[in-house]
Formats: sequence, structure tokens, C-alpha cells
Amino acid sequence: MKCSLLALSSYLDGELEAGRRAEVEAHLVGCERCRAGLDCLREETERFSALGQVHVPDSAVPAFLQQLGLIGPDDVLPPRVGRTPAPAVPAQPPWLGGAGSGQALPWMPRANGPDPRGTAQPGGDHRDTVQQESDQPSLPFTDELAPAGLTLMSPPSGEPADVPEIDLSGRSTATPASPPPVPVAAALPPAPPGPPASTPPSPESAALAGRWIPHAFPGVWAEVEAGPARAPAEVPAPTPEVDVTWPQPSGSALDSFAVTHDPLGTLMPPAPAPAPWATPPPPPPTLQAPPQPPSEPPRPDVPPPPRVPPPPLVPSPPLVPPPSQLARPPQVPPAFPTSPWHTPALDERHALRPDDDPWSWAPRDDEPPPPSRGRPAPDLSGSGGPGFAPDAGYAVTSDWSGVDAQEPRAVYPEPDVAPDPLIDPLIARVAQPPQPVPPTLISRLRDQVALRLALMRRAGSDEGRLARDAPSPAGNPRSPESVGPLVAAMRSRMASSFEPSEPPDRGAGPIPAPWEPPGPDRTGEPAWSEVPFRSATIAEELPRSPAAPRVRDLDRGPRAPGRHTRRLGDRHGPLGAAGGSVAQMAGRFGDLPHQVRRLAAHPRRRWWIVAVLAVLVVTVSLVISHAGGPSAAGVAMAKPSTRPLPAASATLAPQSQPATVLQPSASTAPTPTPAPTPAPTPVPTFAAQTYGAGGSGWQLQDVRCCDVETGTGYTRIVFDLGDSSGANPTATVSFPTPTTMVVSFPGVTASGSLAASGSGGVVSGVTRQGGAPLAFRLSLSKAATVQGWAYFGGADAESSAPLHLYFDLG
Amino acid sequence: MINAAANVPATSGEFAELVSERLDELITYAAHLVGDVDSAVEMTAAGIFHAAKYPPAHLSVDGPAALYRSVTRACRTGQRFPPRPHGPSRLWHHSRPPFEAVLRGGDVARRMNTVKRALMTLTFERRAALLLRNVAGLRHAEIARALECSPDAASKLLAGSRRQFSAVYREIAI
Repeated sequence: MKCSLLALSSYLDGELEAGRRAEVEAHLVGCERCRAGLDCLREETERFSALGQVHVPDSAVPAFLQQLGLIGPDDVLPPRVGRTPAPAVPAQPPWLGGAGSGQALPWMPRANGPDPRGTAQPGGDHRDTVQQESDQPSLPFTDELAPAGLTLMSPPSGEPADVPEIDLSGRSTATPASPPPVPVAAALPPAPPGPPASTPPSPESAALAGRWIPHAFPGVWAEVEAGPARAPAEVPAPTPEVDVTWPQPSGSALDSFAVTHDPLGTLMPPAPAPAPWATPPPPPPTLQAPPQPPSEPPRPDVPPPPRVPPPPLVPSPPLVPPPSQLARPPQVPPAFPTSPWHTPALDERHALRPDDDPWSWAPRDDEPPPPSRGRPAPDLSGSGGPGFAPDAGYAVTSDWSGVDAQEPRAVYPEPDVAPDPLIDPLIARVAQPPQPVPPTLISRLRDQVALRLALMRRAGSDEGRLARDAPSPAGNPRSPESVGPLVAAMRSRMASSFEPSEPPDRGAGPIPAPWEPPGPDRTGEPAWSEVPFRSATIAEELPRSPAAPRVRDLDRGPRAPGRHTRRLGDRHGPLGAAGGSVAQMAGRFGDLPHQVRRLAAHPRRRWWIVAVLAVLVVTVSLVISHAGGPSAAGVAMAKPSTRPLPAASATLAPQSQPATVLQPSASTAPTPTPAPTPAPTPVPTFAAQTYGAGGSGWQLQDVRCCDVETGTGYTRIVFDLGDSSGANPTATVSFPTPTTMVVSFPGVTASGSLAASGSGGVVSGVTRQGGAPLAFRLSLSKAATVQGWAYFGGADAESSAPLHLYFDLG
Repeated sequence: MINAAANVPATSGEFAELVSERLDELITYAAHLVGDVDSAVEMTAAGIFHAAKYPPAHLSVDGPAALYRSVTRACRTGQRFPPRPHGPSRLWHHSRPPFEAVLRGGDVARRMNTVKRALMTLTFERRAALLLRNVAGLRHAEIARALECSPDAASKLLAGSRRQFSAVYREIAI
């Protein structure tokens, strides 16, 4: 098994099946990296408890469901039961330091005291009834018996050669011999199929209860018991599934074996001769069989306390042991024990060769190297070296320090591979450990060039940091002694992405430097979360090739958004998406309507809103100003107006002048509100209007037409009259055109100094017409009418004439 | 032989009991999925409404997964109950009043912590997978039903989500 985040994640959730879970657990024992990863995943899972929980009170639930239409107003819900969520983190097995780690491990010898779990049977029987599901790594050929409960017993003391060693990784370090096919002693039914897991004990398993069956390992016997039925949803406790006790290395004979327990009187095997390959090798450092002898004493030949025979079963009545067989004294089996379903074909099928691994069906943690690479070359001289044992036919490693010389260690013997005098020297040369390369002139020159290049590429870099980041000799294929620290640092940086997953090609070219696989030294290894799992089958970690069609990742959503995969905000028009499925800005504006919040949340929409408001304001202002502006009035007044002329009143008096000035003098007695001469009937603007009382003898002294009264918008035209004190003269005003005003004064003479020019306001020019009577033509810049007129006697602010005639145009 | 009893559709009362039992977890899940409690209530209601309209065949087996599936879909597509108006009229149209469900602990759910910040950096599907496993306590098969994918895809998604969450959490944690 390789390191896999997917496997760890599934293992953490308890989603792996029993076999796979056992593999992961066995892998976790030896892989520190995965243990750290599992702890990290467990911590991350526990961190989710910091998230807030929303609770809907019980009183609000009916209203909630009523609004949804699930219940009626009169329906009554049952009281809510607090549901306990499933534990996110399963219990850790005891061999991983989890709960119950202080208890006796499954491979530890059982004490003589009472069974703490209370499963020990009376009479001092040390067998242990196992449960159906457990975290214990499964053993071969016992999985099908696991649901029924399995008890493995050890042979008596004195047979160390027959007992294989079982380590925590679930493998046997020694290979058992192929037992000779033995004919079946009794007519027994074939092997029953293994019942499915999480089911109560089947009749077949119950029928096998109490039977002794040979295990795959010679000398290890198993008794099948009817396991207790368990609820399917029950969390399996980390109780050991298989209890293996170890024999006492004494010299007792096989007759002390617990054959007296054979209820059927089947043949029990004699002690097979220990094979040379079955010699237990030195135990691994982490897993080893406990050296203590088994707690129980060797079983004597006296029959054990009578066992209660299993109940009679319908499917296999022959399996029920008759009372005569139960009472019969046990017999020593002359041959290898056979199971009830043992057949020669099965032996042939499961025959174990000396060079075969009984655990070869399981994936290995430590894959053996290829048979032709990395192997110590045999000594072809025939004299035999430290690494070659021609008599034994095994390739023996040369550096077995601390290992007994009398105990040759077989390393994948290859009897079919004949030594090749052409290939083996090359292999031997390649397989040598890396030696420091003595510096030569070429290498020094090359290093100098490389140093120059490194300095050019990395100008200004910290030399100390480069030296600190220099790799270890194990990770560098070349010896770092031949180069300087800078060059080594440069090489490490250039080869940082290189991962020595496979050795370089050696097919052509000269023999390269010996490739050394990465050693177990993991000092300076980055954090677990930073190292990708190469073996994980996560889609995002696989190399992406655009040409090859692949399944789109689920978490990245569909290729094109469909009806059911539209994100929030995408369906609200062309204003743009809401920037994802989560409105992180929601809630900032409190209780405002959600439409405003959604619009205001996105800056793009905010600009749209500002632009629309600006256009709206400009449009409204244009409409308002166009409707009430002076241009419209001008257009209206360009046409002949039929409005009646307003009567002259005091309100038309200029505000800039003092009120006393407007008061008529007593001498002239001009009434400020003279009787309106003009008829009240509307007259056309261009019709001649006559003002005054028809007095004569007056002399026109001056014409002023440049006054624009502040705040009124009128243009005042003033005629200064003098040299008379009679009635007011008559003035006739006519408008030949809307922009031309003609004022004539019949019976009035003009003084010699009369200036007939000037402009101001709407009056663009004044022209005195020739002939009689005295008349003036005023050119107007726009259409205007006489808004008011008055005779004012006395001197005003600008003229000392005794009489003034005012015309206000507007 | 056809097991007729297994095909009896669930009654609305049974469905209401299931919803009542899982309502807290559903709203909590939706709240951390969309980041807003108010929206979570409406989207949860939309999901429950849809699940009640199309109930699963076996309520006791598929009921929780169907509920989470509907709520997840409602959160993904923004469906709310009561539905909100569409079109330009929503700008001046008054929305219906929200649910009259009193939330206790809403402030706690609104509180932002590091876990929530790290969650908000994940994609919707990854966030949903993590929440379905660690908040709702669903198994991988149920997560697959809720996310409408295969169990293998759910396992891979969950593994990738855990790794990304771990990296982000270590990045933003003090």
C-alpha cells in the first residue's frame, strides 16, 4: 500500500471495508508520514466543532412547517428528540495509540488472571471469542470465518520452528511449508461459503462451532465458535479479532498438544519437521512476538472439561458430534491435519513454494527491488564471498552486521537466473555505493563555470541561505565533496522539481553515476500538508492534458451553467453576476430590503445606479429649465399679443428710486394713478395709443432710454419736457413691427440740444424722424410692449425738467 | 415477490417528523454553506418544500440524504421560500415577510471565526462536502446522494476538501 490521502480520509470516516482498513492500519504502523497526516485530518475534523449551531426552538417548528404546508394548523408534532450526530472521528485502534491503548494488545500474551473483557470461558480456557467486525488486521484464510467468531490456539510449547512470526503489518516473515495432501478422513461437506458480514451467525457457522480447523500456519489451530450477533449499526470496538498465543520454546513433544479438545476425534497432525526456511528470522524492531512464554501451562493429556456440543443444525447433521466420539479419548493424528473441506486440489492450489510469500496476495509496503537491479553480484570466481552462498542457493547480503552467521537470510532466491559474465560486472559496478569523485581539472573548470552562471542568474542572492539550503548527500546523485557549497546549492535549486521516482535510463551511453534511491532519512522534510500525495487519485492532482478528454471535476461545477447550476445573482439580468454563490456582503445593511442590499452589494451595479440617477437628474433639469425659461416667453410674445395693457399704478414705480420722488408735486398735480386713458378692451400691440391730456406749448428737452430697472426686467424710456406748465402733452405710441416702437408728440417742439441717440435694455437704437409732429423710432432687440406709463412732474434724480413722461417696456 | 410494504409512500406526517428532527442541522448546514443565516432559513425552507413535493421512495433510508440534497440544491441555485419576485418589478415590489421562525443562536452562527473564514475560501461543492461530513455527520454514500455524484467521487471530493481546508486554515490561523 502506498501513502494515499484518499485512503486516510476514508479511513478516518470509517468508510473502508475490513480488508482495506486492515491494510491502512498496517501501513500506519510503519509510516510516520501517514500517521501525522491522519492526526492532521483528525484535528481538522475536530475544528468544525467551533462552528456555530443554529437552533430552532420547539415552539417555532410548527409554524415553520405550517408555512411550508407540511402540517395543518391542527396537527400536532411529536416532541423533537435530540439526535446525536454520528461521531466524525472513529475510535483509534489500540496499536495506534487510541483509546484502550493501555489494554493488552492482541499479540501480547494473555495473563493468567481473569479475562478483563469477561469473555473467558470457565475452566481456565484461554480462548477468546471475537466479534464480527474489528480493527484488527485480518489474517489469511480466516476472513471467511470471521463472522462466526474465531479462536486460534497455539500448539504446545516446544515447537518454535512451526510457528511463524506475525508482525503488525500483517505479514508473515517466514513461509510455511506446503502440507502434504492428506485424504479426508471422514466424509465431510465441502467448505461452506463465508457468510456476509454484519449478519447474525449463519447455520453454517453455527455448525462449525466447536470444530477445530487447521490454520494456514502449521501448528496454529483454530476453533470456530458461534459469534454473538451484533447490531449492524453498532460501532465496532477495537477489540482484537484474533488472539494468537505463542508457544513456549521448550522441548516438549507434540503429544502435549491440546488435541484432547478435538471433539470429533479427527486426526491431529504430528509435529512436522521444521523446514530450513521456516526458521524464525530476527524479529522486526517494532513488531515482534513477545518473548514471554504463554501464560497457560501446556495442556495435559487429560481431557478438558466437557464442552457443550453445539445445537443440532439442520443443514449439516453429520457435523454434530455423536456422544461416542465426544467420550472417545483423543487420538494423535499421524498426518497433517486437514480441514473438513480439505481436498488435494485445495492443497495444490494453496501450495506454498519456498520462494513464495504467503502474503503475496496483499499489496506490499516495501516492494522488493527488481530482480536484476541493485542486487549484490555473486562472486563468479567460485571461491565464495561474503555475499554468496552457492550451497544454499541463496543470495545473501554482505553487510549483515549483528546477524548470526549461522542463520543465512534468504533474499528472494532466484534459481532460474544464471550468472551472466557480461552483465553482472556492470551490475556489480553500478551497485557499488557512491564514492566521492576526486576533483580533476575538468571538474574544477566545470564548477567554476557553473559558479559563474549561478552568480549571474542569482545576483544578489544570499550566499548563506544557499549554503543552508544545500541538499543532503543522499538526495544528490553526485558526491557533494567534489563541488563547492554554491554549486551544490545551485544544483539543488535546479533539481528541486526532480523527484527520484525511478532510476535513470541506463540503456545507452556511458555508465552514469550510480543512482541511489532515497533513503529513509527524512530530516528536513516539509510539512505534511505541503507535500502532495502522488499516489492519491484526486483528479486535481493528476497532470492535466488538454488534449485528452477527461471527466470534469465535480467540485468545479459543470462546464456550462445549466438551469439547475446557476449561481446566485446570475439570473438577474445583464448587470452581472453576484460574484459567486455566497453573498458575503449580505447583512451589512441591516434590515434594508434585500433588493437594495443586493444592488448595493456589488460595485458594478452601484456604478450603474449612479449613472442612471445622473442621467435622470440631467433630463429633469433640462425639461424644467426649458419650460420656464425666457426663450419660451420670447416666442410667446413674438406673436401679436391680445393681452390688455395693464393700468399704470404705483407698483410700477421703480424700486431704486425713493418713494418721495414718486409722489406727484402739488404744482403739477399729476395724479399717480391717472385715469386710464386706454380702453380696457384688448387692442393689438401695433395699434397707436395716446397718452396725455393734449396740452401744448411743451418742449422736449431730452430722451433717456437706457434704464433697466433692477428686479423688474422693464426698460424705462423717459422723455423730459419743459417750457410749459399747462396740461400734459399728448404722446402717441405705435408699434409698426413687434420690434419697432414709434412715439410721436403732436404739439410739442424739440429743443435745440435734443440728442436723438442712445440705447439700453431692449432698445437698441433711437432715431428721430423728420417732419411734423415730433416723432422718434425706437428699435427693440426683442418684442416688447408698454407695460406702464406715467407723467411725473418735478425734477427727478437725473433731470431738472419740470415734466417727465415714463414708458416701461417689457 | 414484491414487497409491497416497502413501496408504500411516506405520509406527510412522517416527512414532517423527519424535518422536525433534522431542522436544526439543516439550517446550520445551510447557514455555513451560504454564509448567511437569514438566507439559510429561506433556502432551507425551499429545499424542504421541494423534498416534500418529490419525497424519496424510502423515507427512513433516503430521507436525510434527500433533505440535504434538496437543501444543497436550493443553496446552489439560490431558491428561496417564499419565492422572491423576478424581473424589474422586484425593485419596487415589497417582498413577503420572512419566516416566523425564531432563531436562537443566530448570533453565534453569524459570528465569524477562523474555521468559517477557511470554509468561505473553498468552492461550493467542497464546502458542502465538508459540512455534510463534519456538521451533518453523513456517510460517504449519503454525501454522494446529497451532492448528486458517485460515492467514489464524494470520497475524492471530501479528501481534496480536507486537504485544501487544512492548507487554508494553517495559512490564516494565527
